[in-house]
Amino acid sequence: MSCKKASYIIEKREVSKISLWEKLSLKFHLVICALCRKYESDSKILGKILKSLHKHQHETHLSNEYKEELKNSLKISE
Amino acid sequence: MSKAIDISDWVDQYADALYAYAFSRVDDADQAKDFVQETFLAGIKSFETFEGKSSVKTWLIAILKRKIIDFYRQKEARKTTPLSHFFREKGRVGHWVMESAPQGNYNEIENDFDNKELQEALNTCLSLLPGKWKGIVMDKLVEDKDSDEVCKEHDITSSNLWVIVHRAKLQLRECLEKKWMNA
Repeated sequence: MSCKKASYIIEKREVSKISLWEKLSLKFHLVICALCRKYESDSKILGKILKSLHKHQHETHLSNEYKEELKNSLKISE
Repeated sequence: MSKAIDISDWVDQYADALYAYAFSRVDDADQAKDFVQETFLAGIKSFETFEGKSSVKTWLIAILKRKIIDFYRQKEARKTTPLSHFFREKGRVGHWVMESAPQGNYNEIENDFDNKELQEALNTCLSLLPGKWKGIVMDKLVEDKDSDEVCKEHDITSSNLWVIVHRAKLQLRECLEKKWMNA
């Protein structure tokens, strides 16, 4: 297995089921490849950081001034 | 108009949610505001056909989603890093290219996810992704939605999803490493 394929399976595994064959060949590749082990570790942590962005999304707000402006422009176009 | 709409009430109730959704996907406050306005306008126009099967908020978000997807269809940015940047095409084919190989130093930030600068750096990296990937990455990797749902919404197959997640993660991992770890 190439590192290209290994990293693909590492990501596929995060969003979907992988086959037994994919599981075994990835496992074997990781035993012999230090760079892909690093990739796997980085990727997992990156995945967690990405998910942590979610709770901060709700801190995004529009100002009250803008909302009033919006109400007016929508009423005119109605 | 047979069904009455209280526009002020709509804006008060839904504008923030619509804006947060749009902003997380377009990274441009003005563009996001335009989307909010367009969504309300479309909502006012088609409220007659709203069957009440979902909440008004869900219905408006659905309108907004379509608008964002159309927007990116129209202007698909070419921000894709070719796979040859990461993996060798000569010699040991498919092996990591040394200069862009993972350094494995993400574990240094394991307990610092709420760090504002880290989040900003990651948001910058996200904004550098091709537009079409961005929405998929937000839905799947940030909001952790069901994969089948994400595929349906973005009209892609599951193998499209695997390829996009793989390419996006390769690109994000390298981007954040450069912006954050080596800063």
